[in-house]
Amino acid sequence: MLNWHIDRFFRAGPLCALVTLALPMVMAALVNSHRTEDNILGILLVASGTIFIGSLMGSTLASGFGTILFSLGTAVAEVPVWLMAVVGISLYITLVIHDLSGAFHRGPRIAPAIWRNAATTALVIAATSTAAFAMVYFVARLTTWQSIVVPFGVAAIGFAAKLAADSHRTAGRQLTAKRPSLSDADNPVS
Amino acid sequence: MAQQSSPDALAGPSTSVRLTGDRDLARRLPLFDVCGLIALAGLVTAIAFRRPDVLALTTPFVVVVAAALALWRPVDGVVQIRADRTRIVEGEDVTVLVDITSARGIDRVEIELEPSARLVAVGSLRAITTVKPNSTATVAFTVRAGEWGIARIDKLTIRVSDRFAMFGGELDTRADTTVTIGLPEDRTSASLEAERFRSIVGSHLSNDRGQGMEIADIRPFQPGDSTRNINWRISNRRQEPWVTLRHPDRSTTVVVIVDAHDGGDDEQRLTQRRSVSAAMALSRGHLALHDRVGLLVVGHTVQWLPPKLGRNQLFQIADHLVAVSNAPEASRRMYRPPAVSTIPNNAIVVVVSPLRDPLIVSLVAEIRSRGNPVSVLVPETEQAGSSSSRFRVTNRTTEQARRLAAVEQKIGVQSLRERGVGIVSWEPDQPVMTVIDSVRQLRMAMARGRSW
Repeated sequence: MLNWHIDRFFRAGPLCALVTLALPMVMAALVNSHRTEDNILGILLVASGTIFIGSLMGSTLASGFGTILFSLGTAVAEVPVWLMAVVGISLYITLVIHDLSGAFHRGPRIAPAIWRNAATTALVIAATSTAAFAMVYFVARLTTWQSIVVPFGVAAIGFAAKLAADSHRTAGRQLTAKRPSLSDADNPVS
Repeated sequence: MAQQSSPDALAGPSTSVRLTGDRDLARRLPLFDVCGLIALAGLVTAIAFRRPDVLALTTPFVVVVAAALALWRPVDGVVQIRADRTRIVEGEDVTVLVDITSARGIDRVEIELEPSARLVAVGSLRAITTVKPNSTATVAFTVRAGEWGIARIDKLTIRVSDRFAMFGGELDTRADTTVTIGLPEDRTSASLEAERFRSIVGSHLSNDRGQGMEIADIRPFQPGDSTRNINWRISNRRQEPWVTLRHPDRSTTVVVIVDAHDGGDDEQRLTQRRSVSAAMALSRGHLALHDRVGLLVVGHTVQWLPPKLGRNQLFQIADHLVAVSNAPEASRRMYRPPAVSTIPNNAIVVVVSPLRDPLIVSLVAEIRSRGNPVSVLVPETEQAGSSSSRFRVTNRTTEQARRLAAVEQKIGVQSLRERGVGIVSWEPDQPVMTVIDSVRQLRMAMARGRSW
């Protein structure tokens, strides 16, 4: 029964869009309760509204802009690290739901495996990112920040760029690879 | 993208779309750009402002971008679309099946159909599913036949993406899946009485005397009569040999001519529909009587089906008549098809036409002058003063043109009547069986009066 309700819920694009408003607003309230700076709530609410409008419009760029604004507001608010991690994961889940709301508009028929895959992926990413951040933060706290994080950061950016370039080069080669013609396949000797 | 059609033994032809190696399906999606930007901004901010805690906000985006890049593989697979039936009647449902086969699997595939105007969607025509590796996922869509004619799936849109929604793309293709929608009244059949027969056995009752089933008369035995025809009961009673005469069962040839006039507005389309249903009923009825039936469609394109026997001919006629609905509007018309000379002289010719054009009138007159018995069914439209046309905006010129056309039509009808063409007016609310019965009665009356 619960499975049926979840299924019906995720099949409705507008409901998904509503979640992209509700989730950041809850996070905004949470951040506001732990903030050390003033005027943070306004920024976070504007960012939540921007994400929601982006979901309604089907604009990933608008929702992305709202996410960046929300992250900026959270960073400025000087909240505890655990709360920042929770906000980061929530923002990622918000973007995942935004993507689902775009796919589910106009009421298509959706296989339950779609939202199950999305939920599994989001959970795995959340767990992995939590572990990765815990490790990075632990190392950063052990030693001098400048001597560890700066080289790691530069290396991480460079590695990410190289990874992206390699991946696309490989994909490009696969796509443009010359396939054997039909005559060659029939007559391998020639 | 490779697209090919292949015949299917169980259903109609299917269209295959090859997804493997398509660059349109290997594009970066906006979510990748957004996540990449957030990840980069977080890293730069953490380094520049010496705040490792900021990484807590952006680590999920860094991880998902890295995972998407590392796990992405080019899309491979084949999408096949087919309909479970290719011939349906108005109002019936047809199921369009889309099979998606992939060796590596597709995390998210979206299929959207865009049928032509004659097909109405029953439920959503968009579906999102996943395909597991080395398996086939089948998505079924139901569409309802809205209007008779030839309908097709105009567009098939395929959207794919990976599980992170970072890479994917969209592909539009045209499916060759066509569905022939017949009229519901196609099941009616009607026939006319023949006057001239072929020397082939059929189901018509001829006025001649010969071999047959129906008793025509009895008379005394004459030299040359077959002894098989002796009526023993009468002969015994009259004490001399008497024979039974029978009507021979003969067949005839019928040629139906359909005026495929413009189907531009609703009124004309309704007239076209009635013309086709009458032609279909006549064809079915005469083919059931073992008559040869031919079809001549004149209008935008000339289609000539020589008279033939059998059920296959009925399907041919149905296909040609259904194609009338898809004729382009206001194109040039052809009225003197070469097939006119090939119409057999003894064939009954039935023309279904509103006789609005002098050229079709001259065509009917020409056929009549060749000696063929010709009947014309004239489907009438709504009168000018009816409720539907009362509020139509007309100017003086249009009204005068309409009156002139009506006068011209009357002159044409009169000239055809003088030549011995039987013309029956078909009112909008009159069933096809009734009007064909009227034609039959008119022809019999004219035969009695030796009008032709």
